[in-house]
Amino acid sequence: MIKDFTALALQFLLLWVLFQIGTWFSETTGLAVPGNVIGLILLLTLLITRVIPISWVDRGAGLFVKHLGFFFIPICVGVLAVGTLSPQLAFSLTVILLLSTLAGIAVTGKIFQSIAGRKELENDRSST
Amino acid sequence: MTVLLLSITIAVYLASRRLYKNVRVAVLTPVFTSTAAMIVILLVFGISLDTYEPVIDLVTAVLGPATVALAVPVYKHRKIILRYSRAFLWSLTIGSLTAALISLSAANLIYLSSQLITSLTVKSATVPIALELAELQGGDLTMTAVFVMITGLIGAVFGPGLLTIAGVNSPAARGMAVGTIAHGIGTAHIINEGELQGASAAAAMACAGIFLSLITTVL
Repeated sequence: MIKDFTALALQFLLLWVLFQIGTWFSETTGLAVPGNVIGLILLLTLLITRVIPISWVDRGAGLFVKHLGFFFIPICVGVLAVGTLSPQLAFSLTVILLLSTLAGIAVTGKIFQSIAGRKELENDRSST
Repeated sequence: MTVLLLSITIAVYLASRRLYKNVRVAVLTPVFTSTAAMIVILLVFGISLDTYEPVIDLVTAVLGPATVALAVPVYKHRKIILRYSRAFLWSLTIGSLTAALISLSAANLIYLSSQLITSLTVKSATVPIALELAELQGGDLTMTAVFVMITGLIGAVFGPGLLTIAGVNSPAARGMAVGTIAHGIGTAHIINEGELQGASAAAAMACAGIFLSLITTVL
């Protein structure tokens, strides 16, 4: 139990260190790509090159990924609780957001599926 | 107080997660129901946003490492993602441009301020990317955050249903679409559908963020 907990804590620590490296890199280079994305790419590179074995991050990352939604809740609360828009502006903005989001999702999905070929993808589904 | 509010947030999240697992109605996606419930709780008990602020800072600090963790599902499904790299790049490019251009032209049509227009074009990126871009381009930061959150929630709530209606059934394509447009909130939702959806969404989210940083300098 204690051993499990230590292992998990170490995995979180490793992810946190990678995030800090990413942030540091983003700040020193002045890149428009933020630290978390650089951290993601860094971890992916380290896994592919086998510098870090997957077992070092698997459980900690699994827990984060499973509960990823949780980490958005407080920001959503902070952002959405400050409603100070005129109803008209709020309405037109909602329409724009709905239209562009839904169109974007439909277009992305359709194009991906038509290029990748539907049959091939169906095969993947049964094999994964 | 911070510990209490954090515990309440976690409890609300776990309850809404259980509710979603039992009911499986897209509108009840945990991020959406938890946010609504927390806003109601804060209002009912007269807790100001300033009091809740430490919880926001604390949890947002962990959002960084949690995003880094998305490298793991991408790694596990790297073969499939690589095999479809051509479909991946094209759908990402055209999909992101569609979302950005629709909001751009609609915003111009109703004469929004240029600050709001900038905030609208970066809304499909994940929060830290969008805020960074808005700042670089002189957009309104608060409204950018609002647009990003609403875009994520719309994508999570309506995206999967829309894709089903549009006949997009393959897991990789579904994850790709939601991750590209609805960033982390969409990814957190679609990962419940399956691990491949989640992996493709995570890869799409990271690449869409990078792509948007490149095109906003042009648009």
